[in-house]
Amino acid sequence: MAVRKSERLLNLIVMLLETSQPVTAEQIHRTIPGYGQDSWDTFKRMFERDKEELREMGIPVELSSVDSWDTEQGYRIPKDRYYLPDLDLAPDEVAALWLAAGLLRMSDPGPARTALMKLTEGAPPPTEGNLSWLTADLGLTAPNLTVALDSVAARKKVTFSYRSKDAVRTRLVEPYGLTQRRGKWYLVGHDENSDEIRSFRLDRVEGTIRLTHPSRPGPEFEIPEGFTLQGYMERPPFVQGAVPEKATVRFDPSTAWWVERSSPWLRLEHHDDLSATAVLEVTDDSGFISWLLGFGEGAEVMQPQRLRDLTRKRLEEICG
Amino acid sequence: MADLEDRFRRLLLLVPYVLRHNGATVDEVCERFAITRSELVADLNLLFMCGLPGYGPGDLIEAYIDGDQVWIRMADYFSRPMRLTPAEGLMLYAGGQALAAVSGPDPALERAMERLSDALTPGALERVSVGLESPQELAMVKEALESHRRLHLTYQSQSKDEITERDVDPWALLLSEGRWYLVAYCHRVNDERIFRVDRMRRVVQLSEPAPVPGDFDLSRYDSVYFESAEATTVTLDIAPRANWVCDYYPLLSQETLDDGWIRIRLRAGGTAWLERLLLRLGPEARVIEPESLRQRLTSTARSLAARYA
Repeated sequence: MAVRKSERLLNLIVMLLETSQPVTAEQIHRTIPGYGQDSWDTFKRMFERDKEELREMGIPVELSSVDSWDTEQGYRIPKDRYYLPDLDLAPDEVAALWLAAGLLRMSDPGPARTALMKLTEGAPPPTEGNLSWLTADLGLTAPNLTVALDSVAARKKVTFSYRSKDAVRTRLVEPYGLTQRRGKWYLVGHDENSDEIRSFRLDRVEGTIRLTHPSRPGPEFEIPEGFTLQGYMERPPFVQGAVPEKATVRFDPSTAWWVERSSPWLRLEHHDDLSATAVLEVTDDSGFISWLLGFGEGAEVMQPQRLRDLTRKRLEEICG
Repeated sequence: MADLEDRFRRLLLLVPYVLRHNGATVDEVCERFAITRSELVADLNLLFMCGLPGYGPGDLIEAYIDGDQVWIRMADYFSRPMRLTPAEGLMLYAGGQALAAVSGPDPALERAMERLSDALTPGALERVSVGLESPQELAMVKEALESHRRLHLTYQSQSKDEITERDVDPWALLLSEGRWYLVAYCHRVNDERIFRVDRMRRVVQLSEPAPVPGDFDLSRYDSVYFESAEATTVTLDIAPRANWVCDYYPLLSQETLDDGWIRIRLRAGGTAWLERLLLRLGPEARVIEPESLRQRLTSTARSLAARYA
C-alpha cells in the first residue's frame, strides 16, 4: 500500500463517513485526489479494490439510493456501524478480556491485540491473575473465518467452491451459523443445490468465500424458525429424514460412562452394574452400524433382529 | 505490502487514540503502538494530506509533534475508535468461552462478553458457537493447577483402552482440536504425560504439593500427539467415501491409488483406537500393514460377530 493509497483510503473513509447523503461514484471520482487523473475505467477498478479493502478491515461501505426516486445509487459509511459504541467497561471486565485474549495460542494474535486496544484504550494489562498454565488453540486461523462470520452476522448469501467426498463443486449457501467442533470451523446453512441444511468445513473450501452481493445493505434471507446451531450439530449421525426404526443398544460398564459424555443426544438408562441401555431412532442403517462398532466390544445392539443381522454381516465382511 | 496494510490499520487505531489523549508524549504513543519515533513521524506526515472534501486549510487534518508531545486536530470524525471487526470480536469471544469453560461462571467475564457483543455488528456473535466441552473433571484439574496440588486419576486411555490409576503433578492445561488435555508429571511411569480430561473417570485432589519445574515451557506443546516409545507405523487403504479420515489424524504420508482409494501411513502408540476406527469404517478401509493389526482386527470382528450369531 503506497503512501498515496493510504491517503486515498483515508480520504475515502472521511468523505463517506461525513456525508449527509450517499455519494455517487462520479462524485468520488471528481473529489478525492489520487483517483482524479486516471480514466473512468481505471477509477472504477481502483475504487472496487479500495471498497473491498475497507470491507476487509471491517469498515462497512453501503450502497443505497441517492434520492427517493431511486434514480441513482451512492455510497456511504453509516456512522452507527462505524463507531465503537461507548462501552464504559469496568476494571474487572477489562481484566477478563485481557485474560481471554492471553490464553489464545495463535500464530497471529494481531486481531486480539487490536481488539483490546480499541476496547481498553489507555488501560494496561492486569498484572495479577495471569493464567500461565492455560493455553487454547481454537483453530482461529482457519481460512475464510472472517468472511464467514461476516456473512452469518449480516445474513448475506455466499458462494464458494467446496471439496466434498467425491468432487469439488461450487456452492451457493445462505449461512445460518458458524460453529467450532474438534478444532475445525464449520459454516452451517441452507445449500441451494441440495435444498438442505448442510455444514461446510472451512478448511475444505478451495479459494475464498465471496458474498454474492457485498454492497447491498440489509439481510438477504430469513433463518427458519426453530433452527438452532446446537440442535443441528448435535443431531445423531444416523438420522437422515426417513421414517425411523427404534433400536435398543446395550453399553457395558467400561463404555457407558463414555457414551454419556460423548453422545449428549442419547438418553441412557443406567443399571446397577454400571452398564446402560438406550433406545434410539435409526434411519440410516449403515451409519448406525458404524457408530455402534466405533465402541468396539463395549456396545451391542439388542433389538431389532434385522439390525443385529446387518451388524453381523458387516463384521463378517471385515473378517474377509 | 503487508507492512503497509498493517500501517494503515495501525493508523486507524492511532488517530483516535491520540485525539483522545492529545498532548501525550512521543514515548507513550510509540510504546503503545510498538513503533519507533520515525515511524510515528511518517504516520503523522501522511495525515497532512487528508481531511474533508475541499482539502483546503480548514479541511485538512493537523498532526504534529511539539517538543515531546503528539497532537492531532481537525479530525473530530476520528475521535471515537472503530467498532471491532468480526475477526477481532471472534478472537476475544472464543478466548472468553475457553476461559468460561475452565473457570466456571464468572460475573465479570459474563458482563465483558455481553459488552463485546455490543461492540460488534449487531447479531454477529448470536449465531456463533464455540462449542467447547466443559467436563466436570475440568474444574478439579483447574483447582489443582492453581493450588499446585497432586492429583489422583482413574484414567481410561483411548489409545489402549485400559483403565489405570495414577498420581500426577499437574503442569498445564491445553485446549487442542476441541479437547482439553492435562500436561502432568506421572508418578506411575516417572515421566511427563498428556491426559485427555474427558477420559478421566475420576479425579481426586491429594494433599501433596505438586511443584512445576522452573524450566517448564508451555509453548513447547504445539501438538498433543506424543510419540510413544512403542509406536508403530501403520499403512491403511481408505475408500474415497471415507476420506474424512485423512483430515482427522496426523499422517506421515498420503497418496491416491489408481482405483481412487487413498493409501495413508501414520504412527500409532496404542492401537485400540485404530481397531475401533477400522471397525467403524468396515469395508471402507483395508489394513496393509502391520500384519499383527490385521490379525487383531479380524479376531475382534470374529468375536463380535459371534455375539450376533
